[in-house]
Amino acid sequence: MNKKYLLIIFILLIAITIFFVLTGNQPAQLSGSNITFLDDQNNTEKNNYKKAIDRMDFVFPEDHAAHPEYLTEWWYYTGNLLTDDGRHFGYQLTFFRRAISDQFNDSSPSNWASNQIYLAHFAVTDTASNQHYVFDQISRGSAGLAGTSVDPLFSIWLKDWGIVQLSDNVFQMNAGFDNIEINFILTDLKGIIFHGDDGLSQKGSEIGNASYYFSQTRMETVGTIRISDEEFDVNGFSWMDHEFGTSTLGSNQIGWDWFSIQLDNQTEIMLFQIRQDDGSISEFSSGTIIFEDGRTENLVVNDFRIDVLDTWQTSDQISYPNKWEINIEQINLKMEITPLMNDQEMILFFRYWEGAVRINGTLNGEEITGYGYVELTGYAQSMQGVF
Amino acid sequence: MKSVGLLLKFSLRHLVRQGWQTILLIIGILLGVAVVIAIDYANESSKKAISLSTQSITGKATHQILASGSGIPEEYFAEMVRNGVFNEASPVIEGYVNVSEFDQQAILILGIDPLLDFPFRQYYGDDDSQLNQLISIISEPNTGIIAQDLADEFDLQLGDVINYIFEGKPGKLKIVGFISTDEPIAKESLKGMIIVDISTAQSAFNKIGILDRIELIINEPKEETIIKNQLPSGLVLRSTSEQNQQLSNMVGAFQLNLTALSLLALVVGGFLIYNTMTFSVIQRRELIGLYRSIGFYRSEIFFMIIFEALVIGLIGTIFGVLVGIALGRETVNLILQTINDLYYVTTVKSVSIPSVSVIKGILLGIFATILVSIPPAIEATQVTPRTAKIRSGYEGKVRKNLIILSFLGVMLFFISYYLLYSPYFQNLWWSFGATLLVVIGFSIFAALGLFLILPILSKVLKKYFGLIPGMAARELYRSLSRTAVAVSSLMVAVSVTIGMAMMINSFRYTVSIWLRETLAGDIYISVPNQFSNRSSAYIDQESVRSIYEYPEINKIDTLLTTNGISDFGDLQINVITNDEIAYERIFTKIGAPTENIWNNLLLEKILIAEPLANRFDLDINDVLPIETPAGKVGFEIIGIFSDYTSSQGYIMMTRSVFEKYWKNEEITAISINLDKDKNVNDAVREIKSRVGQNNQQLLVRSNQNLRDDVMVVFDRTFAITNALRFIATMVSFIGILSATLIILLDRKREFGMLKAIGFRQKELNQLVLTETGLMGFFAGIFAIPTGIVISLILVYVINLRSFGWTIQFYLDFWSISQGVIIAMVAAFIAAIYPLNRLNKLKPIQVIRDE
Repeated sequence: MNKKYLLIIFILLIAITIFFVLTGNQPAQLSGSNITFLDDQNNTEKNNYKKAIDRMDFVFPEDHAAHPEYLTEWWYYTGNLLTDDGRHFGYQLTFFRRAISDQFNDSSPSNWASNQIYLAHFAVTDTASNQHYVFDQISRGSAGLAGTSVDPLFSIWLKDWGIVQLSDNVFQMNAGFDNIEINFILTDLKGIIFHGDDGLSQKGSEIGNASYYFSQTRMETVGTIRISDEEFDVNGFSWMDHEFGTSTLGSNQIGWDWFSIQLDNQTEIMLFQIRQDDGSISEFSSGTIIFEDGRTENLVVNDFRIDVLDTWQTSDQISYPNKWEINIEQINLKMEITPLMNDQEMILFFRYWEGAVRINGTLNGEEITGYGYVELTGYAQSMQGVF
Repeated sequence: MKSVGLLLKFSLRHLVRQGWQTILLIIGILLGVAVVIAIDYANESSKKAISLSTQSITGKATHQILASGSGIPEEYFAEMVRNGVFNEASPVIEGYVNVSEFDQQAILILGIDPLLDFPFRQYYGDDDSQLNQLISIISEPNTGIIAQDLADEFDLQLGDVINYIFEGKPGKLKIVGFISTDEPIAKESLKGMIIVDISTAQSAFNKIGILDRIELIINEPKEETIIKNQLPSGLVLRSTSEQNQQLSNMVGAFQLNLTALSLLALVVGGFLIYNTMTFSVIQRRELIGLYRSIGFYRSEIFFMIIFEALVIGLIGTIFGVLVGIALGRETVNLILQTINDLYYVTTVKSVSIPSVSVIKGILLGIFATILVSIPPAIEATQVTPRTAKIRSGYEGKVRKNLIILSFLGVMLFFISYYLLYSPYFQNLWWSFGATLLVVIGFSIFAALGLFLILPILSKVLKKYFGLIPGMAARELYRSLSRTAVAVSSLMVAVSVTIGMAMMINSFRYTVSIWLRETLAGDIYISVPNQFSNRSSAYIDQESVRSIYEYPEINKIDTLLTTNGISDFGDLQINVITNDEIAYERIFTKIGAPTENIWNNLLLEKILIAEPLANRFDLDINDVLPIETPAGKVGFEIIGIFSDYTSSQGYIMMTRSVFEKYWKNEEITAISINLDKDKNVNDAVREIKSRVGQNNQQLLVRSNQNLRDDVMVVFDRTFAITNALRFIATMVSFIGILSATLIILLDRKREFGMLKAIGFRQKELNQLVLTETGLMGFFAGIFAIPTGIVISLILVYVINLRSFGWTIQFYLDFWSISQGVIIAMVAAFIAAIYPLNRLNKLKPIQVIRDE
């Protein structure tokens, strides 16, 4: 045997071994995963969901609960609350329901089977310390994790957030996340208020571009807000909106500005204007005035004027209107509406602004004040397809 | 320094010149290293496969809630979620299925709620943007998503429907999504699973209302306390690390056992290297004397020998690594199969070569070679120019040393006895260390034995077989320095072979006896389970009814196998109805007369299997606390019985007791005793056709069939051990071959002389063959007691500690004679080549050659 060959073979073998050792374990690369889906037949335009077309005979408490045969539904609770020494808090607790399929057959024996998804948003505005706390939860609407019931009174829950009807007009609300917690008792002072045509609220020109919409506009609220280790006894008024429908928005509508106003003279006003992709306001924008005695009056698009006085820009250059002047001539009301805090943006599963506002104005020439909540959608993303 | 280079050149040339010797040495090391690497590779891979499989199952969960004896009621989950007790929690339903589209490989169907499971696993994308679509599409009944890789491998398209079998029942799933991920761990684990919605899993696995597990991510200890305080009876909260620890503890003992056995092969290789290096020093005494006389230092001589060892070790090791990797690839499947049989279903198969095993193998091969070469290297430095030519001087020294050595041998026996039985050294490594010491002790006594026997033998042979056999024995005695080392090395090699063979055969024998005693029924019915020999799948009620309606039954009993949780850890509960159980088990300990056992069982006492008793350190009359839905209940142990079905062990309790605490009326197996005159095979056929009409496939086996099936699993479990034994045998065969060859080649001149003074061809053949035959014979004979002791240690200490099984030792003459035959055959074969060469040479050539 030649020594040189031996040496060459030797070196070769070492090289091979080193190669094996080095290639054995590739360093882990960090990067994500992605799922490719089969085309979802449920996402097509044609579906079998019910639409808000005719007037409906509402029965309570049954109609407080979910209407799963419609695509989307929400229960919106907002309120402005004060401590005894006048410290202001705003809160929002919203439950959204969305059907993910129009197949209502109960072919699966599993309690987990569901075509309903529940989503909830929870926010607390701590005006004094300029803090806005935002949380959300999501769950399927089955297996006891989320849903509504009327057994015999209404309740709605998503995981550990929920609202339970205690008696005809008394409701209990609990929600908490991390260090923020609310526990309220809400007493409805005015009963159910129906918007639009006895609860059928037209939003677009096509048949079915509508929703069923009713509210509890003045709910006296007492309870506690806990922020970290501090607990505040608060009281004030809440507003409840319950709305459901299918393809509520028309195809050219991108979002809405919604105002719930609780004036100190026990009058409430609900207004919304739907913005269209060409910048104009939809003719289906409307509102409701609820007088002290519970009597209501509908407002159509020409009955009110909303002027934006100021805007606020997010750190990523999204611009929201931030101060408004609203005129309702038929009751001789002129209001200036100012957010109690600029940044009450909700960056969650979808992005919108929902915040507590202060109202100063004149009614028939006399000064009037109040609190309210404003919702601004479609500024950061179009709401088309989301609702 | 130039002189050292010269010396190294000399030694390289020496290696090249001694071609045969060098090659055999290299092969010896190669095999030793290859075995160690193959086993280590396979162990590391299977460990990784287990960890990937568990990781894919447990995800990022820090804790899990598990149920003892039955599932978790789903209302509990909802209640805890609504009360805010669970923050991040994901309920899981899972099952292993066979999918025909995936070549019948084991696939885990993981049933989860994507919305709840999102924080737990990396499969659903980096952000929650795809969740909405995922939940929409997967919530449709009988749909699932799989890895893109898996789809590519088996050429599946989105929308394809796959067919699976779960616990004997067929099902279908529509594939509605492909997951692609770059994350390596997720990528591997995804290849073995189908993700479905929890509702699909519940209905597919017939677990309506039940959850298998709840995974939790707990960040604060406070949360853990809150959950614990509200935990209902029958459920336990366990940290994931604790859970994985249990598994790796069990599998760890099995793997350690294999590693140690593979090291035995290396030890055998080491002995052979020692033998050869020692010999090569003796062979070159004159040459080394010459080096010394021309002025080389002792240290230079020492390093020359070590350098030779290094070169051989390096070459042998490198080839060994390559062969080891190739062997390991095969071995990993065997090991995984065993792990699946005994412990845990793994769904991950392919794993990359663990570089750590390669490095371990390289270090071990080189280190072992150098280590065993140190004594011969020291020996070489003892050579002085004056003593170099006198071999008798060396022989004389060896003889003096034998006395000291025999003392050492006795010492080694005492030390190893202490290591084996002292409670301070319960770790398996100590036991293997003790085995090694025993082996070294025996090898010393083998040398001593030769020293005593050979002179007597020489006289006896001369008297009864003539001059030449007598001369052969005396020749061996005269060159004891070489023959003793060779014979004892060979002895070690052969004894390991014998020891392992006897251990396996004892085990096999024990299991077959045990099966005969234990299986008293004529026919056994259960749900097929391809992944392990333990089926805990329920038999459908309609099948149970049709079996009970079979007319010719004398006695019918049912079994329910379910998992429970005790204070000591997880255990399997076998719920029985057989009132003659006490007569059908072999008890190692019993707390009441056999005829009273059943009554004791009815009084809520239990029987436990020996591996469980060993694992939890339990004895009869001890109380074993088990979680039940009615709270924790202590069950008193009335007997411990032998069992070889699992190394985890299980408990037996009567159905009446079980149903008092658990709500589970299911049946996992049925055993039938037929009317006396009924033919078993006919009955099997008739029952098969009865249950064949139902939706669920069932396994109907006669007693004999079941026994055969158990033995198949047994043989599968020992396939690796057998393979290791085979390799050890090969190493020893090559060792004997090379050792004998070297000795004979060294004595070329001597044989030439014999020829020159008139030895005939036939006489020379007789001399050489007798010599080699005697060496092989002695190696084989001395290997017998050593082998028996090794197998006794393996059976009574190592197996008991790694598996918890007590095996009946079975003296197996075939294993013994096999060892002796191997030794002698190898020795004879070794004689062929040198004899052939000698015969071709003229005497004068042989002498002149020198």
